[in-house]
Amino acid sequence: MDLMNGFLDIFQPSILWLLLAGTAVGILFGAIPGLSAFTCMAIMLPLTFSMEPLQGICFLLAIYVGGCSGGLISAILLGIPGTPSSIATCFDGYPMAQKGQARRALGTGVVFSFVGGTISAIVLVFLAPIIAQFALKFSPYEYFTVILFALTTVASLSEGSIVKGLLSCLLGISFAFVGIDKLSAYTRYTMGVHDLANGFNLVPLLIGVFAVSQILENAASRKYAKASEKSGPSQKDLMKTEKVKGFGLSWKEFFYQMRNAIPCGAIGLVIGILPGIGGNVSNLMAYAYCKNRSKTPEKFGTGFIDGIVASETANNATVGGALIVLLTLGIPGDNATAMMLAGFQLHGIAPGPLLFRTNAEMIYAIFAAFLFANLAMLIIEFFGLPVFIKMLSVPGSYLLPAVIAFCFVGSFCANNRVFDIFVMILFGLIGFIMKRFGFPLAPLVVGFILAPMLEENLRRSLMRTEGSLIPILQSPIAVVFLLLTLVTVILTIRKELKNYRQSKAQAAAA
Amino acid sequence: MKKRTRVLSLLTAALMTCSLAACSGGSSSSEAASSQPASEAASQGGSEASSGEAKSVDFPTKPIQIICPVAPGGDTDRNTRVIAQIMSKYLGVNVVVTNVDGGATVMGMQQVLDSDPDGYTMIINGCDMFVPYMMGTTDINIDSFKTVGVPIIDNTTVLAVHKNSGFTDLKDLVEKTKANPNTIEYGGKIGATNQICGVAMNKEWDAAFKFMDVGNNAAKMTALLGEQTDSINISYSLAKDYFTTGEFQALCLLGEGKNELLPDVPVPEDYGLKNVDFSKFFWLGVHPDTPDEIVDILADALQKTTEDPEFIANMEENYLTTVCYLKDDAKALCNDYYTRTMEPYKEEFLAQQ
Repeated sequence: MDLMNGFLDIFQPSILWLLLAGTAVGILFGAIPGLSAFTCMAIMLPLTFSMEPLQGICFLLAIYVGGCSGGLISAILLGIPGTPSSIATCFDGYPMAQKGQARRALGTGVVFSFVGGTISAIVLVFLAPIIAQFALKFSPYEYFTVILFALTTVASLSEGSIVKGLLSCLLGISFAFVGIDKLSAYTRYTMGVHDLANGFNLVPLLIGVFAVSQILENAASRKYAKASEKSGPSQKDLMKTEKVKGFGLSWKEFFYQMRNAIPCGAIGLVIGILPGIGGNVSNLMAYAYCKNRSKTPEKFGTGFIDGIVASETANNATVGGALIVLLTLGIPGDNATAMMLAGFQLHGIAPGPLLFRTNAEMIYAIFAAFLFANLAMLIIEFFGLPVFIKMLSVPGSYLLPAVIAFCFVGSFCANNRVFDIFVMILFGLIGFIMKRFGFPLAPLVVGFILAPMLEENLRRSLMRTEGSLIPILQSPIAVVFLLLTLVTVILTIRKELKNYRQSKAQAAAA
Repeated sequence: MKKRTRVLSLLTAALMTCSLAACSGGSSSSEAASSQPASEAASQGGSEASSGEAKSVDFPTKPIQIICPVAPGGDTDRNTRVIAQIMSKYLGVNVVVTNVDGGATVMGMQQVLDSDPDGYTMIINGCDMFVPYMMGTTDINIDSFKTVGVPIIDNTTVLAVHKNSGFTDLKDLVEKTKANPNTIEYGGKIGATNQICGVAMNKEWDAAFKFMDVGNNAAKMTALLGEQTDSINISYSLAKDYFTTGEFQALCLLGEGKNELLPDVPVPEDYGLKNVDFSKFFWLGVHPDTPDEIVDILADALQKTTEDPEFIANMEENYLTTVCYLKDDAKALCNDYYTRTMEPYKEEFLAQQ
C-alpha cells in the first residue's frame, strides 16, 4: 500500500521526465569507457540544487541505475568495460559480438540487468531493515574472511594458466601497496614522488588496463591484419550481425538462465550491502561462481551467454544492495552512493533509520523510483539496441580516438587530478604487455582492489585481538567463509592436477 | 553505405562533443542551476559597484572552484557545497566544488599550490590540515596559503556510546576505563584528529581508553551501530537520527564549552573533568601569491555569506555555529586551535603510530 502511494508520488510529469532523462544520461555515461555513474552524478549534482528534494533524488537515482547498466554496451561491442562493474561482461560479450551475435549479447545483458535490478529492488522494498541489521554484524573479522574468499575468484579468472593468473594477481597486490598505509598514516613505496602519496587510483588503473590496452591491441592487430589479411574479424564480418528480433533471447532461454541469474543476483546484493566492496567486485565474483558450477566451464570466455547473465545480473543487483545500507543506515557503500548521500544532504534530508519513521512517504517514493528507473532502463536500452549496434559500423579509426579521449577525461574526473592520466597511460602499457604474453588482466584488478581491504581488516582484527588469530575463528560467519575459501582452493588444486595429468597423458599418447 | 557511415561518425562526434561539454561544464558546475543566483548577483554586483569602493581588479570573471580535499558524503563536503552555493550569489559567478581526495587532505592542498595564484582556486580544510604536518609527512600547513576566512565552527563533536553499552554517563565510562585499563575501546581513524582526541581524553581525564582503528565517519557509525566498538567521537549532525532514537547516547560534548544549539549534551566540566576541545573550524584559503585585492574580494563575499539568513539557517539546522573571521584573524584562530588542542598531545600521538 505504501508502495502504491510511492508510485502515486512519482507519477507526475516532472519526476517521470527526470527519471527517464536521468536513466538515459546514466546509460550514456556508463557506455562511454572512462566515464561512470559516479562521474555523471558528480557533474549533475549541482543541477539538483534547484529541484525539489524528491525530484533531485529521483534524478540521481536514475543516473545510478542507468550508469550501472550502460557499461555493458561498450563491454560487448568494443571489449572495453564502460564501467568497472562490467569487466566480466567483456569476457563473453565481446567474443559474441565478434561472432556476429552482438544484438543477442546486448539483449541478454539488458534483460538481465533489469532482472538483477528488479531482484534487488524487491529485496530493498520488503527486507531492507532486516538486511541492514545483518550487515552490521560484519566486523573486521568477518570482512577479512569474506575478502579472502573473494580472492579465490582469481582461480576462475585465470584462463589458461593458473600460474600466470596468480602472478597477475600478485602484481596487482604489489601496486596496491603504494600510497598511504591506512593503519599508520605513513606512506609506502612512493619513492619520493609526492603524487603517489595516495597510491594509484582505481579508476585510471582500470581504464588503463582494460580500455587503453585494448585500443593499443586493436591498433597493433590492425597493422598485422593489413599484412596478413586474416587475424581478427574484418569490418565486414562485424557488419554481418545476425538478424534477430526483440532482445535476441527466447523465453525458454530466459527461464533457463534464471538458474544463473538468481544466485548471481544474491551475490550482487550481498556484495552491495557490505560497505566498501562494490559492483566492480560483484560482477567478477558472480562470473567466477557461474563458471565454477557450470557443466561446461570451458565455454566461458568464448562467447557464452551464461557469462553475460552472471555479470550483468550481479552488478545491477549491487545497486539495490548499496541503496539498502544507504537508506536504512545512512552509510554510503561506494563512491556513487557517497554522491547520492551528498545529494540527500543538499536537500537537508538525512538517510537513516529515522527517515523510515519521519518521512516514510519519501522512502516509498524512492523505492518506486528505483523500480521505475529499472523499467526505464529496459525500455530505453531496448529501443537503443539497433542504434548501439550501428556503433560497430563506425570505422575504428574514428571511434577509437574518441574513446581514448574519453579515457583521458574519465581518468581526470575520477579525482580531478592530471597525474591520474599518467597512471592510466602507465597501466595501459602494462596491460598491453601482459596481454601480449598471455597474462589474464582480471586477476590483477582483483588483487589491486581486494589486497588493501584484506590487509586493513586483518590488521584491524589483530589490533583488536592483540595479535591472536583465535578470536577470528570464534565468529560463525568468519568460519563459514574460511571453510568456503579452503574448499575452493582444494577443488582448484584438484582440478589443476587433473588437467595436468590429462595433458601429460595426451602428450604421452601422441 | 559509405554515406551512412559518415553520418554515423558525424553523429558520434556530435554526441561526444555534447558530453564533453557536459563534463567540462560539470567540473565547472551547473550553468543552468546557478543561472538564477548568478543573475541575482549580477544585479547586486551592479548596485555595489555604484555604491563606491572602486575596485582596481576585475575579479571574478569566470567560475571559481573550491577544492574539497576529502571525498563527497561527509560534513566537510556538505558544508563546502553550501558555502559555494551562497558565495556564488555574492561573487556573481558560479562557485564549484571539486573533490580531490587523498593523502590526509594533502593532495587537495597540493593542487591549490600548483594552480595559478589568481584566486580562482580556493581550498577548504579543517583541523585535519595540521595532522600530516605534525607527523612530518608534509611541509604544507596554514602558512603555505593566504587565508580568506573561517565561516563556520563546528562545536558538535560528541563522545558517543551505544545504548546497550551500559555506560550511564561520562563519569561512569571514565571510571570503568580506569578499572579495566585498555579494554574499553575508543574507535576512530588512525592518523586523524580523532586519534589525537583519544590521546587527549586519556591524558586529561586519566582514563585508559584503548584506541582502535575502525575507519572514517561512516565506518565509525557502522561500528558503533553494530556494537563492535565501545565509543566513538562523531559530529552530532552526522548521527542525528541515532541520537534522536536513543540508539546512540552523547555522553559529552568535546568542545571548549557548551553549545546552545545542543542544550541536552553535557560538557566534561559538568562531571568535574577538564573540557577536551575538539571542535572544528572550516577554513578557506588561496594560493600564497594571490594578489591582496583578490583576497579582499573573496573575503568580502565570504563575510556576506556568513550574514546570509539562508546560510545561517542551514548551519543552525546542523547545530553548526556561523562565525566570521577574516584573513589574519582567521589564521590566528586556526593557529590557536593547533597550539591549544593538538600540539600538547603531539608526542603521545606520534608514539602511537
